[in-house]
Amino acid sequence: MGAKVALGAFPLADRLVFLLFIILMAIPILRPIGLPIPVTDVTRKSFKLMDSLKQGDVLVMCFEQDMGTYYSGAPPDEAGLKHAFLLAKQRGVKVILFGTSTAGSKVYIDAVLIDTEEFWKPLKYGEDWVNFGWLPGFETAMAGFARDVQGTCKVDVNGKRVEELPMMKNIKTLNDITGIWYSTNTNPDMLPRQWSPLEWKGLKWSICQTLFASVPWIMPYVDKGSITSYVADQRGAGEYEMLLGKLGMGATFMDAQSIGHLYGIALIIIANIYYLYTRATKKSASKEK
Amino acid sequence: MEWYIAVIEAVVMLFAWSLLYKENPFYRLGEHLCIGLYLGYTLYMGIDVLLKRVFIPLATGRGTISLVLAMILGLFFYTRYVKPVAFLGRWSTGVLMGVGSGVAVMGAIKPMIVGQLEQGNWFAPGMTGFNNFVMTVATVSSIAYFLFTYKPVGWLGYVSTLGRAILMACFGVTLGTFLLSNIGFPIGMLMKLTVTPGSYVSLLAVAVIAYDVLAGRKRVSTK
Repeated sequence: MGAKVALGAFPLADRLVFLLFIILMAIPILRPIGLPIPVTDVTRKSFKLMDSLKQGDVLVMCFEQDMGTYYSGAPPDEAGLKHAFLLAKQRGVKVILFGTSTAGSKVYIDAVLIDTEEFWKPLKYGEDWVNFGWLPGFETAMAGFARDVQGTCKVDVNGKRVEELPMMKNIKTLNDITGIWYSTNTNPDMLPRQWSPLEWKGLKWSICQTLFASVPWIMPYVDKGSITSYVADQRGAGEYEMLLGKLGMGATFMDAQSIGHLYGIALIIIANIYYLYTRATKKSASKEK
Repeated sequence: MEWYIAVIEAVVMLFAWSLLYKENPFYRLGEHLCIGLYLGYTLYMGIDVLLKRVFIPLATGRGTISLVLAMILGLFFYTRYVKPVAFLGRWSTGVLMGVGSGVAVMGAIKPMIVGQLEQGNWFAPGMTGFNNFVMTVATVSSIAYFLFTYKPVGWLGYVSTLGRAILMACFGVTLGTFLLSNIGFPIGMLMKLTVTPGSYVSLLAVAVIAYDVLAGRKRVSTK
């Protein structure tokens, strides 16, 4: 048995910071302010790429997420999923879902599918879309999928063999996939390493759905074309929902996001003023001595 | 969503958040529940994958030699519990690490190394040219900061200092965006805690905390 670490209580100032944060966040959730959501060029580009899919095109949606990041990852992923299922219904686009990083990615996919039920319910499973759940191996599984789709996706989430899924019949390698929606809460390096549109001539584009924190990380890849575009976090979700015309979690969270960011900036300014003040008083006290 | 699922969700969220007030048995219960359920679920998923992808194909005559080899290598991991054959476990580890790094390195060369060395045109129209120039300066000066062959004096010292400033700005941006990204997590949870039935659970939690604060004051005054 490991030793129990006593955590005790936070200092009063810290608790007040958290309490004020909770109150400030709760206000726009209870009474939405309706702050405008300007759509950025990059989200518009992602939307256009998804919207360019036509009959017979295959879209892979890979979710490297877990329930721990559900409220950050699910809003943009659900917006993307809704769009994909609408395209499957209206244009006959084929959609493949799976995750490779952790066992939790299967629960995550189940959770986002519950929220988007009305969009996939009218579709035929196995013909319009398919869910492979968790493909263990992370990057190795991604590399395997790129070179041998049938060999990597042997059975779907229900235990059905890939040969029994009609839409998978002609999908052999990544060259048979048109676009990729890659959702990640951690390391986005795997996407350009294994599924770069520059390497796979059949693959037209890849979109990375990621945290705000990972945007500077993926920008060099976007500049060089290894990743075609990205959708960032809840903000990206709000913008995507505006373009799709189906408002969801992203748009709902935007007011709280904006206030939260303002609160964060205010805290940084106050903490720095306090730091400079205490440093100055310490200096003057030592001079007097 | 069923109401009882929403209540369980709200209760467990508040168990976790109760640490912000102070450490308490509810927080510990939530912590243990979270770790236990996660590990239990991972174990279940591992067994499920083995059944669907390995045991059923082998039992129904659909197994391949590569599948059998992978299974043997997997079983080798458990030889570490039997000292005389413990060395076999290293073979599995070796294969796993070799394949993993091979796959990563093979894919990394173009997008992560060659691609990033190609610098953009400084005279491209609009802000692109300026951005490309900044990127070149940032890359060169950051590399100069990690140049340990020569002492950073003279012009190399200035370039190295610029590199350090650029690295600090980069880390600052990463930390700032990471902190602001994390705001997204409690917002979603608050959504559950402010609508019924989660709001009733929240009110109950506030009442429990208020009682504890008052009882704590009483204890202090009697002492």
